[in-house]
Amino acid sequence: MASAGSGDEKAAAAAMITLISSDNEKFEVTEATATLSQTIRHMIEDGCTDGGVPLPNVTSKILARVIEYCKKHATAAAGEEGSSSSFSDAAFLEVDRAFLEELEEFDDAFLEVDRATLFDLILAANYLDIKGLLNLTCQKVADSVKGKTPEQIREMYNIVNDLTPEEEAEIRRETQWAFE
Amino acid sequence: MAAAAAPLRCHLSDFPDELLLCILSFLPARDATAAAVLSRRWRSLWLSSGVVYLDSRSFGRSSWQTERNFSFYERRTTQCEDCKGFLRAAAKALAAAAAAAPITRLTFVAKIDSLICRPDVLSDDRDLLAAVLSNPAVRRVEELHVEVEHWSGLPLRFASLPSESLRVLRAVNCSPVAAAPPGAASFPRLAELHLHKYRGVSIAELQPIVDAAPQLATMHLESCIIKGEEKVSHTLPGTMAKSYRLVCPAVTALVFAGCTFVISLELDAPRLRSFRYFGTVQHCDRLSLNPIRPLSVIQVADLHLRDESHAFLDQGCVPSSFWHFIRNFRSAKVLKLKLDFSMARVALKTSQDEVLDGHTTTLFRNLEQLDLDAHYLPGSTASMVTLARLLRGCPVVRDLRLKLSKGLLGRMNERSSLDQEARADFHKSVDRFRHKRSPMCSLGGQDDHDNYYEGAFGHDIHALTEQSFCCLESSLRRVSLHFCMDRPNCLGVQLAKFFAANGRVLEEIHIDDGSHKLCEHMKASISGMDC
Repeated sequence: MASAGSGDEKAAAAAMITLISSDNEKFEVTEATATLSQTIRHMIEDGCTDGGVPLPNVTSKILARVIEYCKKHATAAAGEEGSSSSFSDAAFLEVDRAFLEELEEFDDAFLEVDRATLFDLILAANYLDIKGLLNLTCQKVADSVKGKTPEQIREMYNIVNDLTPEEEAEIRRETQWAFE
Repeated sequence: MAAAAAPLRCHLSDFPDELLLCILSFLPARDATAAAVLSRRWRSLWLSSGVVYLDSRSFGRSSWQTERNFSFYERRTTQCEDCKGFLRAAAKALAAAAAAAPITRLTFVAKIDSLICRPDVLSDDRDLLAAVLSNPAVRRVEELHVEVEHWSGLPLRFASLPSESLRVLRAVNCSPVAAAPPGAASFPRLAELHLHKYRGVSIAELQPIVDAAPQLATMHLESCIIKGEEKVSHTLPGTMAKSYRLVCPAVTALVFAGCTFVISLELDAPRLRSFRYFGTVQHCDRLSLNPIRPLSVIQVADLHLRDESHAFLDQGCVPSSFWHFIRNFRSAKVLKLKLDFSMARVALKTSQDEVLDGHTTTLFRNLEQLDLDAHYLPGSTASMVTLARLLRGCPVVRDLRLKLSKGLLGRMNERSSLDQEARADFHKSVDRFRHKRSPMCSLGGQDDHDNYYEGAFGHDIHALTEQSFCCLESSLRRVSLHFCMDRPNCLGVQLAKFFAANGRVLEEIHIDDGSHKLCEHMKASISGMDC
C-alpha cells in the first residue's frame, strides 16, 4: 500500500506552490489556486514545481493580480475530473446567487484597470492558460469597442489602417448592413 | 522587464492571432463586421473565425422599452419591425460570415420582449430562433449557445437544430421540444448538453434526445425543474414522488445544479466518472444511480448540499435522505462533500443504521480522498457522530481534508474575540502537543493512551475516540484541517491531536486555522508515527 501511493504523497506534500515572477518576487499559493492555470497544473502533474515555478513572462505586479483572481475563483473550480467544458465551473455556481453576485462584483472591480494593465493581464492569462480570466479580460476589450466606428477603434487601440482606400471601400460595400 | 523606467507600451497589434480571435468572438456580429474594416490583419482574422454572435440588443431601435406612452399596438408594431430588422441583419451577418468560412460557433442571445418570440408575429409560422436556425449558413455549426431572457422562455425545437455537426449545445431559458422524436443517432456528434433555467425538463422529452446522441459525454442541468411527463405538475407534500429512469449510456460527466425534482429519478449511466450535485438535502434522495450496475466507474463525486427545512414539512427524513444519497457514490475514489448546515443535522442514531443497508460498515470501499466542508455545533456530539460514521465508512481513505466551521448558531453562541492570552495559551498547547508526540510514538499501542485522551481531548470528539477506524490503522496518510481557532482546545485542535495520536500510517498533518498561521508551525512530516 505504501508503494502504491508514493506519487500521491509527493503531490500532497506540495500543497503549497511557489510562483516566481519575472522580477524575482516569490508568491506562495495553494495548489487549488495555482491549478486554475492549466500551464501550472501540467507542471504539477509532471512534478516539476519543486523549488518554485518561474514565470519569466509575468511581472510581480501582474502576477499579484492574477493570483488575486485565482484565489477568488478557486473555490468555483474545485477540480472536476475530465471536464472539457469551459463554462461548467462558473456555471455551476450560477445557482448560488449570492456567491455569483459577489463574484460578479469582484470581476467588475477587478477589471477597473488601465489599458496597459488589462493587456498585460490578457497576455498573462494566455500564457498561464487561465480560461476564465482570459475570457473576462477579452470580453472587456470587446465591450470597449462595441458600437464604435472603425475610425474610433483604430484611434483607441493604435491600429494602423493598411488597407488601401479602394479595398476599404469594397469591404464596406460587402458589409454595408453593419453600418446602416 | 516592465520594471524599466519607461515601460513598453503594449499595443493590441502585438497580440497573437489567437488572442485577437478571442476578442473578436465576444463581439456581436455587427461590431465584429466593423472590426473587419480595421486593417488587413483584422480583415483576415474575421474571415477565418467561423464565429457569429447574434445579439438582439444590437439590432432594432429598441425604443419601445423606454417609451411608455406607446399603446399596445404601437409597441407591437415596433417590435415586429425590430424583429424583422433583426432577422434581416442576422441573415446578412450569417451570409457574410459563411461566405468567408463555415460557421462553427453560433451564439444567439435574445433579450427582448416575448412578443417577437411568438410565431404569429413573423409572417411565416416560425419563432425567431427557428427562423435563424433555418438559415442554411448555420448547418455546420458545432457549438450553439442560445439564450433568451424572458420568463416564458422560447421553445427549442430539436428538429430545427443543425443536428449533423452539433457538438456542444448550451440553452438558457428555452423549453425543449423534441417535436418529431429524433431518430437513431440524429445528433451523431453531440458531446455536451447544457440546459439552464428550463422551467421544466421532462424525462419523457429528454430521453429521446439522449438516445439520439450516442456521443453525449457531458450533461449539465441547472436550475431546471425535473419532471416526468410534460403535463405533470408538483407532487403534493407527503405523497410519493413518481419514479422515472433516464438511461445515458455514454455520459461520463453529470451536473445537477439547483434543480428541483418533482419526480424520483433513477439514472442509468454506466460510464459515469464524475458527478456534481448542488441542491437541497431534503430531496437529494430523489436522485439515484442505478444500483444494478456492478462495476460503476465513478471517480469523483462533488456534492454540495444545503438545508431548506423551512420549505418542507417532512423534517424527520433528512438523515436518511442524506445517507441514501451519498451511498450512490459507494465506488467513488474522491468524494467532496460540502454541507451548508451542521453535520449534526444528518447524524444517524444507532437505531437508524439500517438506513445504510443494515449490515454494512463500509460506505465507500474505494474512497481515497474525502473532502468534508461542513458546519458543526460546538459542544454537540452529534456533529462528530456524523464525522465518525463517515470515517468508519471509508476503510481505505488516504487523504482527508476537513474544513469545519461553526454554523450561524455556533457563532452566535460563542462570540469570544481573540485576545493575546488565548494566543499564548494556544502556542503553549501546540508546544506541549509537539513534545508529547515522540513519547507517544514510542509507546505504540493505542490503548495506552486512554489517560492521555482524558487530559488533552475535550469532550467534543468522544464519538471518535470511542471507536476504532480501519483507515487510521492502515491507509490514512495525510490529514488537512481547516478551522477557525477561537479557543486553545477547540474542535480543530482536538481533531489534530486525535489524528496525530491515532493515525498509524499518517505522514502529514496540514493545519490552517484561519488566523494563527498555524501551518507554519505544524506542517510537519510525522512519518516517525509509523510504528
